[in-house]
Amino acid sequence: MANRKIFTLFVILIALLFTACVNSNKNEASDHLDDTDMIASTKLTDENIGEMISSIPNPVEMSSLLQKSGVVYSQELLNPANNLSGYNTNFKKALNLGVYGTDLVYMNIYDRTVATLQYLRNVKDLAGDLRVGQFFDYETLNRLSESSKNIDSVLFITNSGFDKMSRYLIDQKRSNIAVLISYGTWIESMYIATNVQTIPPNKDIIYRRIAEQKVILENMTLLLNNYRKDPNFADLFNDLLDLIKAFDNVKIQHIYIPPTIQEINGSVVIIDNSRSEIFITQEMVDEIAKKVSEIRTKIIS
Amino acid sequence: MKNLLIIVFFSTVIFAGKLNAQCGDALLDACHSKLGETRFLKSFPVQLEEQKPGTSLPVVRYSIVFNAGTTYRIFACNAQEFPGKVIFSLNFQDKLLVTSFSIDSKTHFPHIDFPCNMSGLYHIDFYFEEGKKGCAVGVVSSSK
Repeated sequence: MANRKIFTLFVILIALLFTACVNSNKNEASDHLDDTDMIASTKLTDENIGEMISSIPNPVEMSSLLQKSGVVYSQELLNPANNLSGYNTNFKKALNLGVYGTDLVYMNIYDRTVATLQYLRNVKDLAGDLRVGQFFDYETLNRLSESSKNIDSVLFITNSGFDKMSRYLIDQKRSNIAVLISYGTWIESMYIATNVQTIPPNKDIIYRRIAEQKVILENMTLLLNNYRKDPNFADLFNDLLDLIKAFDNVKIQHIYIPPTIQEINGSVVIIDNSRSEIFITQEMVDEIAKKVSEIRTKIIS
Repeated sequence: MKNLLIIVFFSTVIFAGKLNAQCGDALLDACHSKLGETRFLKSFPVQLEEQKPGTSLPVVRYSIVFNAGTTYRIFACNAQEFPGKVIFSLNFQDKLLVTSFSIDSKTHFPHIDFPCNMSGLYHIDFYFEEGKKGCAVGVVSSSK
């Protein structure tokens, strides 16, 4: 009987230890960012937040565009890997998880797989600190990164990991963390796009893509506004308002013409007869680049 | 007793993950093979209850920004343990552009390819044929 009690106690202890391990945070954040939604105003539902986050472009798109346009790879644009040690708050960790995630994608698209190791480790460490490390199979990613043949698999595991992580955070009532990660991801994409060396053949394409980001500013504003009671979020929100001003004169006009649908080899292909006309000048790009750079400096410093 | 406790404990731990995995993250991993020559961008979980008589068809809508100059592919993978077969449609504002199911021929198309000429916020609706209960994951990828 006594043995049975001891064994039961042992099992309970193991269960508690297991839970503690899952929830452990080996690098405890020094701030008290409440990573539940309790502080959020109830303007947006979790469903709204999930939808808005999913509308934010994946960094693969911007990096692929740069690479396809012949833009030269610039390692110096990335957030230095050794900045990691300075991120001691959950707020900074979440933002820079997004930043390093984008850097990782950028490096992979440019086939800099060997150099990704430290960035991969940073993503793993930050995700672990935020208790979402389970979404990054570091060992597999590390192994796959050894060959450039595996880039698509690496990108799938990384990006689907970010998708799953975001949904998990929202389910766990930690959508503020999900929003910060998404914002960091997007700002880093914008920073890279607005700071790469452009040459005439690719300049228009890249400027056009920068202008197109105006479409998501509204969702981004709503997302940050949702947590504005938190002073850290309020700062991000105010900085975003400055960026919105920089986009003020960028014009996007949609000219909708119904599409033509074709069935080719059993698949549906749409012939998109619509087009968008975009107006952006060098001065506007410079102003956007300046604001993005200011925001990004605050995030990574 | 000892063995029973061990079994209960480990079964709880293992099955807590397994049950979620079938209709959820594992489904997305299984969908990886359908990417073909495209590159993964976003995933959209879809889980809907059976349509009840007299109610509208259950639909889940997601928004996504598409950029001109990129060819996007939209496809979905069904969780086999549910009866519903997923249908998806692409919309711009309130205009239906295309759907993955032909009502006339009762054909499900495996994917929709969309060479985008007009940048903007699009919507993808997911629902299940005949309003059956279903689980799926939608994926948007782009050409390399």
